Amino acid sequence: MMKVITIEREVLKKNDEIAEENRSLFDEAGLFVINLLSSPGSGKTSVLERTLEKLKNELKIAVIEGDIQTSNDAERIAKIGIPAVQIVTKGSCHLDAKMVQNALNNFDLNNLDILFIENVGNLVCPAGFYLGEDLKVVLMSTPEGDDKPLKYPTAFRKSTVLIVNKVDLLPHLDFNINMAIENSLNINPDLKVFKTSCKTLEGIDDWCQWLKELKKK
Amino acid sequence: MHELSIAQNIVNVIEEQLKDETFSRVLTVNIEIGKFSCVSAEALEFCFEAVAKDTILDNSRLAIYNVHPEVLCEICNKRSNVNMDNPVLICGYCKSREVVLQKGEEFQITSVEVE
Repeated sequence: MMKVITIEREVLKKNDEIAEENRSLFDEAGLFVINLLSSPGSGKTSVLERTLEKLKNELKIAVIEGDIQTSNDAERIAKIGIPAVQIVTKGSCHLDAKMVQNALNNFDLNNLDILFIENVGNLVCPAGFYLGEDLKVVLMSTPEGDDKPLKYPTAFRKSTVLIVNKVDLLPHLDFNINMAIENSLNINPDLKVFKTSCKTLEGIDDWCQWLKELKKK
Repeated sequence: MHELSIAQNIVNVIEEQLKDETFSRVLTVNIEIGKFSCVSAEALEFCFEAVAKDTILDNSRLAIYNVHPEVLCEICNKRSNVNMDNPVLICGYCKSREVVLQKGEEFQITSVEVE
């Protein structure tokens, strides 16, 4: 005889449970955690480098880097004198809460103001995996299409901040920055938008000022 | 998304949830997938069949219900569907942007049918 057994369980519930454990650790330590998302090559690591160069004497910051292969990004951050740990996923296209939890042992969380988690370059899956962060920052860059937010709505909708990077290239591109921002705000009207260049340093001050004003919830 | 590891996760969750139940086989696994969840139903079905082999879910059917994103308007209090060709969260009636997403991000095992 057929019977129905109710399950009603989110498939990713296990990840969320671990993320909540991470969240508790962050709260206890008074630590603000930011999850950076973008396509590969948008400039997450470069924006982090410029940010850390500016803020390293004012705030205590650490970075968790996520990539499928290489420790290149963590090495770039370490060169600036900031504690950085590289998670090499060897194939997983996103960081999950367990990977982040395993990496936390490398830091004294109580002695930090901000932890950046630079996710694997991917605008799809990272948006679906909560790591325990306070907020997500989504980056897009001017060589990409200005309809990016419409193609990847979940990443833009779940983020608090949008950084439009590589604005120094605008004179050479057909990228319509106003349209890109309008598309982003249509998906998420609450997005805080910064326009940056890691070459000219345009916008980096404003973004750093915003970081300094972050208060732990 | 990476539907193979997700399918394996589904098998693991169901094995855990059914460990105290009595049955001879699993007939159907009912799943809800919201269209904002970035999970491909077709890829998931394909992967599920592969990972279910030699488990209690061998030969069971994955029944996927795709949930269309829906918003509730905070101004006119009506519910409307999100246009997936232009996935802006806006009320389909009064065009207000003051809406709250009610459905569309689910990825849930709702039930299993056994005999």
